[in-house]
Amino acid sequence: MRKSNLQKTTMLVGGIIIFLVFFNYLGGLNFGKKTLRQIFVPFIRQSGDFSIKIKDDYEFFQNKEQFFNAYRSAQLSLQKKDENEAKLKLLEEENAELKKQLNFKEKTKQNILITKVIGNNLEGTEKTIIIDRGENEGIKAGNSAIVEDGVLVGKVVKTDKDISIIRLLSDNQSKVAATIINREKSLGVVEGGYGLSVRMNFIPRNETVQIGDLVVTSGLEKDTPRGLLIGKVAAVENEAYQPFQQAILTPSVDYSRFVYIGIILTQ
Amino acid sequence: MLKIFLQIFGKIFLLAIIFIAHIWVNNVLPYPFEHINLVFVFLFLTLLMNKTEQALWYSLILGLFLELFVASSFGVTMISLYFCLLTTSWLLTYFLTNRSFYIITLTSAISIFIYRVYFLGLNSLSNFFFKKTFLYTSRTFADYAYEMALTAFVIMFSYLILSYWIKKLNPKYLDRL
Repeated sequence: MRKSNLQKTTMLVGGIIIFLVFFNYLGGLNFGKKTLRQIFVPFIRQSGDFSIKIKDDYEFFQNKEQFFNAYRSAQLSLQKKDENEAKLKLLEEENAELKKQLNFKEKTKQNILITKVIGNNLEGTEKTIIIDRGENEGIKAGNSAIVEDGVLVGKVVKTDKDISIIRLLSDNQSKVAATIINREKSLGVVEGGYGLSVRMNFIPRNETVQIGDLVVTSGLEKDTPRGLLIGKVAAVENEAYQPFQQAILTPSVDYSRFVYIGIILTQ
Repeated sequence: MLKIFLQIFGKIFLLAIIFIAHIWVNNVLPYPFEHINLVFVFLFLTLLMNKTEQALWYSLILGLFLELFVASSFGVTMISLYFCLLTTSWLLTYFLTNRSFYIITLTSAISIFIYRVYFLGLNSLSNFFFKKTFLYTSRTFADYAYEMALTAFVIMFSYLILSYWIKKLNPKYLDRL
């Protein structure tokens, strides 16, 4: 008797799951999903705000208000300085190249949509964040996510009508084509999954990478423009038995403290 | 009729509380404790109380809640939880029948491992047929290992405490069920 009840429940629940999956891909679940999200998003937002607040309180500084303000403004100005330095170097090189050519194209202005972070991914093993804009605003999977004027923090991996999910660079599944602002303009792949830092792999061993070099996106990927700042080289690993060298990067921003994110929209 | 309606409403409310607790654990705790899967803890403890049918219904609702906020394709989390619970129920009934706390810890670790195997398999299928959204790296498996260890520890700890109050979890009463 109990076994037949279990079999019936198994078949019924399995059938409902299959129905829900098909119904979702036909677009029938959008209203239900939106309603449920509206119920749970305030809790996600509260927990996200609380998480940022307690992380701030971990600083253990004595003089709180003024020192925090000064500390944050110093971080901001340092970040801006790094971005400007990277942009300046790229601009200098581009200018030199353009001077050699007779015709050149104007740069198109990037279309950036500012969105609010409403929470983190609940899967547990992924470092992703949820934003409050989706397909209705033109966001597509693959779009780059930035903060400030041009610091890359991740890419959009999934979109729905009213929300999107962004995979941060620190996620273990994140890979971005990048270049180091050094003499050789070394190319490599920035990968996450190393806690607070990210690594740049597949750097040719014969190229010189120094601590302090800036790393930016190389523009070799679709939907990821060139020149978005990623971080700074903190350490270099160049072993004789390895075919490539690796650089450990310090990201330019703290990936756990976003309130607003910019999405670079593409045509 | 009203009683049945209130029971169903009460259970949905309980599931919403569990999900909100999972949200808080995921967002507030530092690395690596954010990998603790409270939804899985609740479902596993429900299975331990010989309520497999209820656990399946709970997995449907909690899986649906989780699907709203995860990066993988819709349905992957729900289906993984469903098959994982069926497999775990089968293991608990025919193989790991002992209810001592070390067997419970081992079973919970195996169960999470099974869940991740289903999850990776379904994501691979999803990548094959749809747009690729999932990459496997060694760090992915390291995160899964953290999840397995920490969630199993929480289950063990919860089981030790709850077995004092809930008869169905206490091995002394098993032969009376």
